[in-house]
Amino acid sequence: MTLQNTSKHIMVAILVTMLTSTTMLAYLPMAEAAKVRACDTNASPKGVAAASSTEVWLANDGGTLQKFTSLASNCNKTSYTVNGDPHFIDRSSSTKITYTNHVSDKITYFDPSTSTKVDCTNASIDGPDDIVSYDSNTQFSTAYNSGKIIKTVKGASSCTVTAYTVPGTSPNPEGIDTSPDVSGMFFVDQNNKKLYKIAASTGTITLVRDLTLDTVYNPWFVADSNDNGNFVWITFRDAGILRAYATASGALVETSPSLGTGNNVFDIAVISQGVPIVTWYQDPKVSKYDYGTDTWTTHDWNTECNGCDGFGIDTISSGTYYAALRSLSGTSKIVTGSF
Amino acid sequence: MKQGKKLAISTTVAIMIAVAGAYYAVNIPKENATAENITLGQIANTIKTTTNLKATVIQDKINSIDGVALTEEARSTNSGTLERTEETSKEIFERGQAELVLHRGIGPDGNEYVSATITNMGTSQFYLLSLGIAGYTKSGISTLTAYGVNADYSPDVWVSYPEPPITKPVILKPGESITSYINGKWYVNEVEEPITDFSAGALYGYEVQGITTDQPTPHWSIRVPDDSLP
Repeated sequence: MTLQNTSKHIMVAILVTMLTSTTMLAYLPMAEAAKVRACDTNASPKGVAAASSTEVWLANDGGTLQKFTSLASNCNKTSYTVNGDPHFIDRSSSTKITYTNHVSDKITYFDPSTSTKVDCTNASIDGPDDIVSYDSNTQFSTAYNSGKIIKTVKGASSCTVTAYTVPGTSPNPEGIDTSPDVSGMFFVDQNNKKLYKIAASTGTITLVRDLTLDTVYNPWFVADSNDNGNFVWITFRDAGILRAYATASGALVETSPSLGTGNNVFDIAVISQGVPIVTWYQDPKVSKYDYGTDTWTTHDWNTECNGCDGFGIDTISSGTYYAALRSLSGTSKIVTGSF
Repeated sequence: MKQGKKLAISTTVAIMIAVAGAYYAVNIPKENATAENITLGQIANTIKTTTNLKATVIQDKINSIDGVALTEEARSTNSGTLERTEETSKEIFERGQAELVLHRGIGPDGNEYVSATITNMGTSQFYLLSLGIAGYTKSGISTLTAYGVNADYSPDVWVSYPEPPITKPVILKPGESITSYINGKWYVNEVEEPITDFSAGALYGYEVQGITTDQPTPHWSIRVPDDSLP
Protein backbone atom coordinates (compact mmCIF):
# COMPACT_ATOMS: atom_id res chain seq x y z
CA MET A 1 0.00 0.00 0.00
CA THR A 2 2.74 2.36 0.98
CA LEU A 3 4.71 1.64 -2.16
CA GLN A 4 1.58 2.00 -4.23
CA ASN A 5 0.85 5.38 -2.61
CA THR A 6 4.47 6.43 -3.11
CA SER A 7 4.28 5.44 -6.76
CA LYS A 8 1.05 7.36 -7.12
CA HIS A 9 2.59 10.45 -5.55
CA ILE A 10 5.68 10.20 -7.73
CA MET A 11 3.58 9.71 -10.82
CA VAL A 12 1.30 12.59 -9.93
CA ALA A 13 4.34 14.74 -9.27
CA ILE A 14 5.83 13.77 -12.63
CA LEU A 15 2.51 14.37 -14.35
CA VAL A 16 2.18 17.80 -12.77
CA THR A 17 5.76 18.59 -13.73
CA MET A 18 5.21 17.43 -17.27
CA LEU A 19 1.96 19.33 -17.60
CA THR A 20 3.59 22.45 -16.20
CA SER A 21 6.52 22.05 -18.57
CA THR A 22 4.17 21.43 -21.43
CA THR A 23 2.17 24.50 -20.55
CA MET A 24 5.34 26.57 -20.35
CA LEU A 25 6.53 25.06 -23.63
CA ALA A 26 3.26 25.96 -25.24
CA TYR A 27 3.70 29.58 -24.24
CA LEU A 28 7.37 29.83 -25.17
CA PRO A 29 6.79 30.88 -28.78
CA MET A 30 4.57 33.71 -27.56
CA ALA A 31 7.24 34.82 -25.11
CA GLU A 32 9.65 35.26 -28.03
CA ALA A 33 7.39 37.84 -29.61
CA ALA A 34 7.64 40.84 -27.36
CA LYS A 35 7.80 44.57 -27.06
CA VAL A 36 11.35 45.51 -26.13
CA ARG A 37 11.88 49.24 -25.72
CA ALA A 38 10.38 52.69 -26.29
CA CYS A 39 12.73 55.66 -26.58
CA ASP A 40 12.01 59.39 -26.74
CA THR A 41 12.47 61.11 -30.08
CA ASN A 42 12.37 64.65 -31.39
CA ALA A 43 8.95 65.91 -32.32
CA SER A 44 7.00 64.45 -35.22
CA PRO A 45 8.94 61.32 -36.18
CA LYS A 46 7.99 59.86 -39.54
CA GLY A 47 10.17 57.51 -41.55
CA VAL A 48 12.42 54.83 -40.09
CA ALA A 49 15.42 53.09 -41.68
CA ALA A 50 17.16 50.25 -39.88
CA ALA A 51 20.50 48.76 -40.82
CA SER A 52 20.95 46.86 -37.56
CA SER A 53 20.10 47.29 -33.91
CA THR A 54 23.11 49.62 -33.67
CA GLU A 55 22.12 51.86 -36.54
CA VAL A 56 18.48 52.88 -36.73
CA TRP A 57 17.66 56.18 -38.43
CA LEU A 58 14.63 58.29 -37.78
CA ALA A 59 13.36 61.22 -39.87
CA ASN A 60 11.61 63.95 -37.87
CA ASP A 61 9.70 66.42 -40.00
CA GLY A 62 10.69 69.30 -37.73
CA GLY A 63 14.09 69.18 -39.41
CA THR A 64 16.20 66.59 -37.63
CA LEU A 65 17.52 63.11 -38.17
CA GLN A 66 18.28 60.84 -35.22
CA LYS A 67 20.51 57.80 -35.15
CA PHE A 68 19.82 55.27 -32.38
CA THR A 69 22.94 53.26 -31.73
CA SER A 70 21.95 50.51 -29.31
CA LEU A 71 18.21 50.06 -29.26
CA ALA A 72 18.57 46.45 -28.15
CA SER A 73 19.85 47.65 -24.78
CA ASN A 74 19.31 51.39 -24.34
CA CYS A 75 18.14 54.64 -25.92
CA ASN A 76 21.50 56.11 -26.88
CA LYS A 77 21.18 58.40 -29.86
CA THR A 78 22.80 61.15 -31.90
CA SER A 79 20.75 63.98 -33.34
CA TYR A 80 21.52 65.88 -36.53
CA THR A 81 19.86 69.14 -37.47
CA VAL A 82 19.25 69.08 -41.21
CA ASN A 83 16.30 71.54 -41.50
CA GLY A 84 13.68 70.98 -44.19
CA ASP A 85 11.00 68.43 -43.35
CA PRO A 86 12.46 64.92 -43.37
CA HIS A 87 9.66 62.53 -44.26
CA PHE A 88 10.56 59.00 -45.37
CA ILE A 89 14.14 57.81 -45.11
CA ASP A 90 16.44 55.09 -46.40
CA ARG A 91 19.98 54.10 -45.56
CA SER A 92 22.17 52.59 -48.26
CA SER A 93 25.48 52.89 -46.38
CA SER A 94 26.84 54.35 -43.17
CA THR A 95 27.67 57.54 -45.08
CA LYS A 96 24.64 57.70 -47.35
CA ILE A 97 21.35 58.46 -45.65
CA THR A 98 18.64 59.59 -48.07
CA TYR A 99 15.32 61.17 -47.20
CA THR A 100 12.44 62.99 -48.82
CA ASN A 101 11.35 66.48 -47.78
CA HIS A 102 7.62 66.22 -48.42
CA VAL A 103 6.68 69.89 -48.10
CA SER A 104 9.93 71.54 -49.11
CA ASP A 105 10.16 69.39 -52.25
CA LYS A 106 13.67 68.04 -51.96
CA ILE A 107 15.38 64.70 -51.79
CA THR A 108 18.45 64.94 -49.62
CA TYR A 109 21.57 62.84 -49.17
CA PHE A 110 23.13 63.14 -45.74
CA ASP A 111 26.59 61.94 -44.70
CA PRO A 112 26.72 61.69 -40.91
CA SER A 113 30.49 61.24 -40.89
CA THR A 114 30.92 64.81 -42.11
CA SER A 115 27.43 66.16 -41.38
CA THR A 116 27.15 67.30 -44.98
CA LYS A 117 24.07 67.36 -47.18
CA VAL A 118 23.47 67.21 -50.89
CA ASP A 119 20.01 68.41 -51.89
CA CYS A 120 18.32 67.16 -55.04
CA THR A 121 15.83 69.66 -56.45
CA ASN A 122 13.84 69.56 -59.65
CA ALA A 123 10.42 70.76 -60.81
CA SER A 124 9.30 67.14 -60.83
CA ILE A 125 10.19 66.67 -57.16
CA ASP A 126 6.80 67.90 -55.95
CA GLY A 127 5.49 66.32 -52.76
CA PRO A 128 8.13 63.58 -52.53
CA ASP A 129 6.93 60.84 -50.24
CA ASP A 130 8.26 57.31 -49.97
CA ILE A 131 11.87 56.45 -50.84
CA VAL A 132 13.83 53.26 -51.39
CA SER A 133 17.32 52.32 -52.52
CA TYR A 134 17.52 50.15 -55.60
CA ASP A 135 21.26 49.78 -54.96
CA SER A 136 23.74 51.73 -52.91
CA ASN A 137 24.06 54.40 -55.61
CA THR A 138 20.49 54.73 -56.87
CA GLN A 139 17.43 55.82 -54.95
CA PHE A 140 13.84 55.95 -56.17
CA SER A 141 11.11 58.15 -54.66
CA THR A 142 7.45 58.77 -55.31
CA ALA A 143 6.56 62.41 -56.08
CA TYR A 144 2.92 62.46 -55.03
CA ASN A 145 1.89 65.84 -56.42
CA SER A 146 3.74 65.75 -59.73
CA GLY A 147 2.81 62.15 -60.49
CA LYS A 148 6.42 61.16 -61.10
CA ILE A 149 8.82 58.48 -59.97
CA ILE A 150 12.12 60.15 -59.19
CA LYS A 151 15.49 58.47 -59.62
CA THR A 152 18.37 60.18 -57.84
CA VAL A 153 22.07 59.45 -57.96
CA LYS A 154 24.36 61.31 -55.60
CA GLY A 155 27.45 63.04 -56.91
CA ALA A 156 30.24 64.73 -54.97
CA SER A 157 28.29 67.90 -54.33
CA SER A 158 25.19 67.57 -56.49
CA CYS A 159 22.88 64.86 -57.66
CA THR A 160 21.46 63.61 -60.92
CA VAL A 161 17.68 63.58 -61.09
CA THR A 162 15.63 61.58 -63.57
CA ALA A 163 11.84 61.82 -63.52
CA TYR A 164 9.57 59.13 -64.92
CA THR A 165 5.93 60.01 -65.57
CA VAL A 166 3.41 57.66 -64.01
CA PRO A 167 0.78 56.71 -66.61
CA GLY A 168 -2.88 57.55 -66.25
CA THR A 169 -4.99 60.55 -65.38
CA SER A 170 -3.61 62.73 -62.55
CA PRO A 171 -1.63 59.97 -60.84
CA ASN A 172 -0.53 60.26 -57.22
CA PRO A 173 2.26 57.73 -56.61
CA GLU A 174 2.58 56.81 -52.93
CA GLY A 175 4.37 53.70 -51.58
CA ILE A 176 7.40 52.18 -53.35
CA ASP A 177 9.61 49.18 -52.65
CA THR A 178 12.43 47.39 -54.42
CA SER A 179 11.77 43.94 -55.83
CA PRO A 180 14.48 41.66 -57.21
CA ASP A 181 11.69 39.79 -59.01
CA VAL A 182 11.27 42.61 -61.50
CA SER A 183 14.75 44.17 -61.37
CA GLY A 184 13.14 47.32 -60.17
CA MET A 185 10.40 48.57 -57.91
CA PHE A 186 6.72 48.19 -57.28
CA PHE A 187 4.67 51.28 -56.47
CA VAL A 188 1.03 52.30 -56.21
CA ASP A 189 -0.90 55.18 -57.75
CA GLN A 190 -3.40 56.26 -55.14
CA ASN A 191 -5.62 58.40 -57.36
CA ASN A 192 -6.17 55.75 -59.99
CA LYS A 193 -5.74 52.78 -57.62
CA LYS A 194 -3.15 50.96 -59.67
CA LEU A 195 -0.17 48.74 -58.85
CA TYR A 196 2.75 49.34 -61.20
CA LYS A 197 6.29 48.11 -61.59
CA ILE A 198 9.17 50.23 -62.86
CA ALA A 199 12.36 48.81 -64.33
CA ALA A 200 15.35 50.31 -62.58
CA SER A 201 17.58 50.38 -65.66
CA THR A 202 15.14 51.90 -68.15
CA GLY A 203 12.41 53.53 -66.08
CA THR A 204 9.81 51.62 -68.07
CA ILE A 205 6.55 51.54 -66.13
CA THR A 206 4.14 48.62 -66.57
CA LEU A 207 0.72 48.01 -65.09
CA VAL A 208 0.57 45.04 -62.72
CA ARG A 209 -3.01 45.22 -61.44
CA ASP A 210 -5.93 47.65 -61.43
CA LEU A 211 -6.91 47.67 -57.75
CA THR A 212 -10.35 49.21 -58.35
CA LEU A 213 -11.55 45.69 -59.14
CA ASP A 214 -10.59 44.52 -55.65
CA THR A 215 -11.57 47.45 -53.44
CA VAL A 216 -12.81 51.03 -53.22
CA TYR A 217 -10.06 51.88 -50.74
CA ASN A 218 -6.86 53.70 -51.53
CA PRO A 219 -3.61 51.76 -51.59
CA TRP A 220 -0.87 53.27 -49.45
CA PHE A 221 2.39 51.43 -48.94
CA VAL A 222 4.13 48.52 -50.60
CA ALA A 223 6.53 45.83 -49.37
CA ASP A 224 8.13 43.13 -51.48
CA SER A 225 8.33 39.65 -49.99
CA ASN A 226 12.11 39.71 -50.43
CA ASP A 227 12.73 36.36 -52.09
CA ASN A 228 10.39 34.56 -49.72
CA GLY A 229 8.02 33.86 -52.58
CA ASN A 230 7.29 36.20 -55.43
CA PHE A 231 4.60 38.42 -54.03
CA VAL A 232 4.22 42.01 -53.00
CA TRP A 233 2.09 43.38 -50.15
CA ILE A 234 -0.03 46.53 -50.27
CA THR A 235 -1.62 48.27 -47.29
CA PHE A 236 -5.15 49.59 -47.68
CA ARG A 237 -5.15 52.02 -44.79
CA ASP A 238 -8.81 52.84 -44.31
CA ALA A 239 -9.95 49.27 -44.85
CA GLY A 240 -7.47 47.97 -42.27
CA ILE A 241 -6.33 45.22 -44.62
CA LEU A 242 -3.37 43.92 -46.58
CA ARG A 243 -3.38 42.26 -49.96
CA ALA A 244 -0.65 40.27 -51.66
CA TYR A 245 -0.20 40.17 -55.43
CA ALA A 246 1.98 37.75 -57.38
CA THR A 247 4.90 39.65 -58.84
CA ALA A 248 5.04 37.61 -62.03
CA SER A 249 1.40 37.79 -63.01
CA GLY A 250 -0.27 40.46 -60.88
CA ALA A 251 -2.80 37.93 -59.62
CA LEU A 252 -4.36 38.62 -56.25
CA VAL A 253 -3.19 35.76 -54.03
CA GLU A 254 -3.99 36.81 -50.45
CA THR A 255 -6.28 39.15 -48.53
CA SER A 256 -5.97 39.65 -44.78
CA PRO A 257 -8.91 39.97 -42.42
CA SER A 258 -9.67 43.59 -41.59
CA LEU A 259 -8.35 45.06 -38.37
CA GLY A 260 -11.61 47.00 -38.39
CA THR A 261 -12.95 50.51 -38.74
CA GLY A 262 -10.42 53.10 -37.71
CA ASN A 263 -7.64 50.56 -37.33
CA ASN A 264 -5.61 52.08 -40.07
CA VAL A 265 -3.01 49.76 -41.50
CA PHE A 266 -0.31 52.13 -42.72
CA ASP A 267 3.42 51.66 -43.34
CA ILE A 268 4.69 48.12 -43.92
CA ALA A 269 7.85 46.05 -43.71
CA VAL A 270 8.52 42.35 -44.18
CA ILE A 271 10.18 39.90 -41.79
CA SER A 272 11.17 36.28 -42.44
CA GLN A 273 9.09 34.19 -44.84
CA GLY A 274 7.61 37.33 -46.33
CA VAL A 275 5.45 37.91 -43.26
CA PRO A 276 4.29 41.54 -43.18
CA ILE A 277 4.30 43.85 -40.18
CA VAL A 278 2.54 47.20 -40.17
CA THR A 279 2.04 50.35 -38.14
CA TRP A 280 -1.43 51.61 -37.33
CA TYR A 281 -2.08 55.18 -38.45
CA GLN A 282 -4.35 56.26 -35.63
CA ASP A 283 -3.10 54.16 -32.73
CA PRO A 284 0.28 53.38 -31.15
CA LYS A 285 0.25 49.80 -32.38
CA VAL A 286 2.32 47.48 -34.50
CA SER A 287 0.83 44.31 -35.96
CA LYS A 288 2.07 41.21 -37.70
CA TYR A 289 -0.10 39.34 -40.18
CA ASP A 290 0.47 35.58 -40.22
CA TYR A 291 -0.90 34.62 -43.62
CA GLY A 292 -0.56 30.93 -42.81
CA THR A 293 -3.22 31.17 -40.13
CA ASP A 294 -4.96 34.37 -41.29
CA THR A 295 -4.36 35.97 -37.90
CA TRP A 296 -3.07 39.29 -36.67
CA THR A 297 -0.77 39.65 -33.65
CA THR A 298 -0.57 43.14 -32.18
CA HIS A 299 1.83 44.99 -29.92
CA ASP A 300 0.00 47.80 -28.14
CA TRP A 301 2.35 50.66 -27.16
CA ASN A 302 -0.28 52.91 -25.62
CA THR A 303 1.24 52.59 -22.14
CA GLU A 304 4.58 53.85 -23.44
CA CYS A 305 3.15 56.40 -25.89
CA ASN A 306 -0.30 57.37 -24.73
CA GLY A 307 -2.57 58.53 -27.54
CA CYS A 308 0.19 58.37 -30.14
CA ASP A 309 -0.23 57.61 -33.84
CA GLY A 310 1.87 55.19 -35.82
CA PHE A 311 3.90 56.17 -38.86
CA GLY A 312 7.04 54.60 -40.39
CA ILE A 313 8.29 51.09 -39.76
CA ASP A 314 11.39 49.14 -40.73
CA THR A 315 12.80 45.78 -39.77
CA ILE A 316 15.89 43.67 -39.77
CA SER A 317 15.62 40.14 -41.00
CA SER A 318 15.25 38.40 -37.65
CA GLY A 319 11.83 39.88 -37.03
CA THR A 320 12.95 42.79 -34.92
CA TYR A 321 11.10 45.96 -35.89
CA TYR A 322 11.54 49.68 -35.33
CA ALA A 323 8.51 51.96 -35.56
CA ALA A 324 7.83 55.67 -35.18
CA LEU A 325 4.98 56.71 -32.89
CA ARG A 326 3.92 60.35 -33.06
CA SER A 327 2.42 62.32 -30.21
CA LEU A 328 0.63 65.62 -30.75
CA SER A 329 0.65 66.58 -27.08
CA GLY A 330 3.49 64.64 -25.44
CA THR A 331 6.75 62.96 -26.27
CA SER A 332 6.96 60.95 -29.46
CA LYS A 333 8.74 57.59 -29.44
CA ILE A 334 10.64 55.13 -31.48
CA VAL A 335 9.75 51.62 -30.37
CA THR A 336 11.39 48.29 -30.98
CA GLY A 337 10.02 44.80 -30.54
CA SER A 338 10.14 41.37 -32.05
CA PHE A 339 7.56 39.07 -33.55
CA MET B 1 3.32 -4.09 -5.57
CA LYS B 2 2.08 -5.53 -8.83
CA GLN B 3 -0.72 -3.04 -8.90
CA GLY B 4 1.80 -0.29 -8.15
CA LYS B 5 3.98 -1.35 -11.06
CA LYS B 6 0.96 -1.52 -13.32
CA LEU B 7 -0.08 1.93 -12.21
CA ALA B 8 3.44 3.23 -12.66
CA ILE B 9 3.71 1.72 -16.13
CA SER B 10 0.29 2.86 -17.22
CA THR B 11 0.89 6.30 -15.77
CA THR B 12 4.27 6.48 -17.48
CA VAL B 13 2.69 5.48 -20.76
CA ALA B 14 -0.01 8.06 -20.20
CA ILE B 15 2.64 10.68 -19.52
CA MET B 16 4.56 9.69 -22.63
CA ILE B 17 1.39 9.97 -24.66
CA ALA B 18 0.60 13.27 -22.96
CA VAL B 19 4.11 14.54 -23.60
CA ALA B 20 4.01 13.34 -27.20
CA GLY B 21 0.58 14.90 -27.59
CA ALA B 22 1.73 18.12 -26.00
CA TYR B 23 4.85 18.16 -28.17
CA TYR B 24 2.67 17.58 -31.18
CA ALA B 25 0.18 20.19 -30.06
CA VAL B 26 2.94 22.73 -29.61
CA ASN B 27 4.76 21.98 -32.81
CA ILE B 28 2.12 21.03 -35.32
CA PRO B 29 0.52 24.46 -35.64
CA LYS B 30 3.96 25.95 -36.20
CA GLU B 31 4.75 23.38 -38.88
CA ASN B 32 1.37 23.92 -40.45
CA ALA B 33 1.88 27.65 -40.38
CA THR B 34 5.23 27.23 -42.08
CA ALA B 35 3.73 24.98 -44.71
CA GLU B 36 0.99 27.50 -45.26
CA ASN B 37 3.53 30.27 -45.56
CA ILE B 38 5.43 28.35 -48.17
CA THR B 39 2.15 27.65 -49.93
CA LEU B 40 1.49 31.35 -50.44
CA GLY B 41 4.95 31.76 -51.89
CA GLN B 42 4.40 28.72 -54.07
CA ILE B 43 1.05 30.04 -55.23
CA ALA B 44 2.61 33.37 -56.10
CA ASN B 45 5.45 31.62 -57.89
CA THR B 46 3.16 29.21 -59.67
CA ILE B 47 0.63 31.69 -60.96
CA LYS B 48 2.71 33.24 -63.68
CA THR B 49 -0.08 34.21 -66.02
CA THR B 50 -3.49 35.77 -65.74
CA THR B 51 -6.56 35.62 -67.91
CA ASN B 52 -7.04 39.16 -69.11
CA LEU B 53 -10.04 39.54 -71.36
CA LYS B 54 -11.61 42.18 -73.53
CA ALA B 55 -15.17 42.75 -72.34
CA THR B 56 -18.05 43.54 -74.65
CA VAL B 57 -19.71 46.93 -74.18
CA ILE B 58 -23.37 47.87 -74.50
CA GLN B 59 -24.32 51.53 -74.03
CA ASP B 60 -27.31 50.76 -71.83
CA LYS B 61 -28.66 48.59 -69.05
CA ILE B 62 -29.33 45.01 -70.00
CA ASN B 63 -31.47 42.18 -68.63
CA SER B 64 -30.23 39.41 -70.89
CA ILE B 65 -27.37 38.50 -73.20
CA ASP B 66 -27.72 36.16 -76.18
CA GLY B 67 -31.15 35.22 -74.86
CA VAL B 68 -29.73 34.27 -71.47
CA ALA B 69 -31.60 35.93 -68.61
CA LEU B 70 -29.40 37.74 -66.11
CA THR B 71 -29.96 37.79 -62.38
CA GLU B 72 -28.83 40.66 -60.20
CA GLU B 73 -26.14 39.47 -57.81
CA ALA B 74 -25.07 42.67 -56.08
CA ARG B 75 -25.57 46.43 -56.20
CA SER B 76 -23.53 49.34 -54.85
CA THR B 77 -24.29 53.05 -54.72
CA ASN B 78 -21.81 55.85 -54.15
CA SER B 79 -22.95 58.69 -51.95
CA GLY B 80 -21.14 60.25 -49.02
CA THR B 81 -17.70 59.20 -50.18
CA LEU B 82 -17.85 61.90 -52.82
CA GLU B 83 -17.40 64.82 -50.45
CA ARG B 84 -13.95 65.70 -51.61
CA THR B 85 -14.08 69.20 -53.13
CA GLU B 86 -14.70 72.71 -51.88
CA GLU B 87 -18.29 72.57 -53.01
CA THR B 88 -21.11 71.60 -50.73
CA SER B 89 -21.64 67.98 -50.00
CA LYS B 90 -25.22 68.11 -51.27
CA GLU B 91 -24.12 69.28 -54.71
CA ILE B 92 -21.41 66.70 -54.80
CA PHE B 93 -23.81 64.01 -53.79
CA GLU B 94 -26.22 64.97 -56.50
CA ARG B 95 -23.58 65.39 -59.16
CA GLY B 96 -21.42 62.39 -58.50
CA GLN B 97 -23.81 59.70 -57.45
CA ALA B 98 -23.34 56.42 -59.28
CA GLU B 99 -24.75 52.93 -59.08
CA LEU B 100 -22.94 49.78 -60.12
CA VAL B 101 -24.82 46.50 -60.56
CA LEU B 102 -23.40 43.03 -61.11
CA HIS B 103 -25.52 40.50 -63.00
CA ARG B 104 -24.89 36.84 -63.77
CA GLY B 105 -26.49 34.18 -65.92
CA ILE B 106 -25.74 30.68 -67.12
CA GLY B 107 -26.01 29.82 -70.82
CA PRO B 108 -27.30 26.49 -72.20
CA ASP B 109 -23.69 25.39 -72.71
CA GLY B 110 -22.97 25.97 -69.02
CA ASN B 111 -20.89 29.07 -69.68
CA GLU B 112 -21.12 32.06 -67.37
CA TYR B 113 -22.39 35.47 -68.40
CA VAL B 114 -21.17 38.22 -66.06
CA SER B 115 -22.10 41.85 -66.58
CA ALA B 116 -21.38 45.13 -64.82
CA THR B 117 -23.64 48.14 -65.38
CA ILE B 118 -22.85 51.62 -64.11
CA THR B 119 -25.56 54.28 -64.06
CA ASN B 120 -25.25 58.01 -63.45
CA MET B 121 -27.72 58.55 -60.62
CA GLY B 122 -26.71 62.20 -60.08
CA THR B 123 -27.82 65.48 -61.58
CA SER B 124 -24.95 66.26 -63.92
CA GLN B 125 -22.74 64.33 -66.29
CA PHE B 126 -19.66 62.53 -65.15
CA TYR B 127 -16.71 60.98 -66.91
CA LEU B 128 -16.33 57.23 -66.67
CA LEU B 129 -12.64 56.37 -66.75
CA SER B 130 -12.77 52.61 -66.31
CA LEU B 131 -15.27 49.79 -66.00
CA GLY B 132 -13.93 46.30 -65.37
CA ILE B 133 -14.79 42.86 -64.04
CA ALA B 134 -12.60 40.53 -61.96
CA GLY B 135 -13.03 36.83 -61.21
CA TYR B 136 -11.99 35.05 -58.01
CA THR B 137 -11.70 31.49 -56.77
CA LYS B 138 -13.34 30.46 -53.51
CA SER B 139 -10.01 30.89 -51.75
CA GLY B 140 -9.81 34.50 -52.94
CA ILE B 141 -7.28 34.14 -55.74
CA SER B 142 -7.98 36.41 -58.66
CA THR B 143 -6.41 35.81 -62.03
CA LEU B 144 -9.22 37.05 -64.27
CA THR B 145 -9.77 40.65 -65.33
CA ALA B 146 -11.75 42.14 -68.18
CA TYR B 147 -12.30 45.75 -69.23
CA GLY B 148 -14.96 47.33 -71.38
CA VAL B 149 -13.72 50.85 -70.70
CA ASN B 150 -10.32 52.10 -69.65
CA ALA B 151 -9.24 55.65 -70.43
CA ASP B 152 -5.77 55.02 -69.06
CA TYR B 153 -5.06 52.15 -71.43
CA SER B 154 -1.88 52.25 -73.46
CA PRO B 155 -0.28 49.18 -75.02
CA ASP B 156 3.15 50.09 -73.68
CA VAL B 157 1.94 50.16 -70.08
CA TRP B 158 -0.84 47.57 -70.17
CA VAL B 159 1.48 44.99 -71.64
CA SER B 160 -0.35 41.89 -70.45
CA TYR B 161 -3.85 43.28 -71.01
CA PRO B 162 -5.79 43.38 -74.28
CA GLU B 163 -7.00 46.74 -75.54
CA PRO B 164 -10.49 47.42 -74.16
CA PRO B 165 -13.23 48.32 -76.67
CA ILE B 166 -13.32 51.88 -75.29
CA THR B 167 -10.09 53.67 -74.32
CA LYS B 168 -11.40 57.21 -73.82
CA PRO B 169 -13.49 58.65 -70.99
CA VAL B 170 -17.17 57.95 -71.47
CA ILE B 171 -19.54 60.83 -70.70
CA LEU B 172 -22.57 59.60 -68.82
CA LYS B 173 -25.46 62.04 -68.50
CA PRO B 174 -27.87 61.75 -65.59
CA GLY B 175 -29.85 58.56 -65.90
CA GLU B 176 -27.56 57.03 -68.56
CA SER B 177 -25.96 53.61 -68.17
CA ILE B 178 -23.22 51.55 -69.78
CA THR B 179 -22.60 47.81 -69.43
CA SER B 180 -19.55 45.59 -69.84
CA TYR B 181 -19.90 41.83 -69.95
CA ILE B 182 -17.91 38.64 -70.40
CA ASN B 183 -18.90 35.13 -71.34
CA GLY B 184 -17.05 31.88 -70.66
CA LYS B 185 -15.95 29.39 -68.07
CA TRP B 186 -12.70 29.89 -66.21
CA TYR B 187 -10.43 27.75 -64.11
CA VAL B 188 -7.16 28.49 -62.32
CA ASN B 189 -5.15 25.42 -63.21
CA GLU B 190 -2.25 26.20 -60.90
CA VAL B 191 -4.42 25.89 -57.80
CA GLU B 192 -7.04 23.59 -59.34
CA GLU B 193 -9.91 25.91 -58.51
CA PRO B 194 -12.68 27.25 -60.73
CA ILE B 195 -13.45 30.95 -60.81
CA THR B 196 -16.77 31.21 -59.06
CA ASP B 197 -16.99 34.75 -57.67
CA PHE B 198 -16.95 38.04 -59.51
CA SER B 199 -16.61 41.72 -58.76
CA ALA B 200 -16.79 44.86 -60.84
CA GLY B 201 -15.06 48.16 -60.36
CA ALA B 202 -15.35 51.58 -61.95
CA LEU B 203 -13.40 54.80 -61.72
CA TYR B 204 -14.90 58.16 -62.59
CA GLY B 205 -14.66 61.90 -62.04
CA TYR B 206 -16.36 65.14 -63.01
CA GLU B 207 -13.62 66.82 -64.95
CA VAL B 208 -11.41 65.34 -67.56
CA GLN B 209 -10.70 68.55 -69.45
CA GLY B 210 -8.32 70.98 -67.79
CA ILE B 211 -6.60 68.55 -65.45
CA THR B 212 -3.29 69.87 -64.25
CA THR B 213 -0.65 68.11 -62.26
CA ASP B 214 -0.77 70.92 -59.69
CA GLN B 215 -4.41 70.28 -58.90
CA PRO B 216 -5.30 66.68 -59.60
CA THR B 217 -8.95 66.04 -60.18
CA PRO B 218 -10.25 63.64 -57.57
CA HIS B 219 -11.28 60.28 -58.83
CA TRP B 220 -13.91 58.18 -57.22
CA SER B 221 -14.19 54.48 -57.37
CA ILE B 222 -17.17 52.24 -56.92
CA ARG B 223 -17.09 48.49 -56.53
CA VAL B 224 -19.61 45.74 -56.40
CA PRO B 225 -19.94 43.80 -54.14
CA ASP B 226 -19.55 46.79 -51.85
CA ASP B 227 -16.45 46.37 -49.68
CA SER B 228 -16.75 49.69 -47.84
CA LEU B 229 -16.87 49.61 -44.09
CA PRO B 230 -20.19 50.35 -42.38
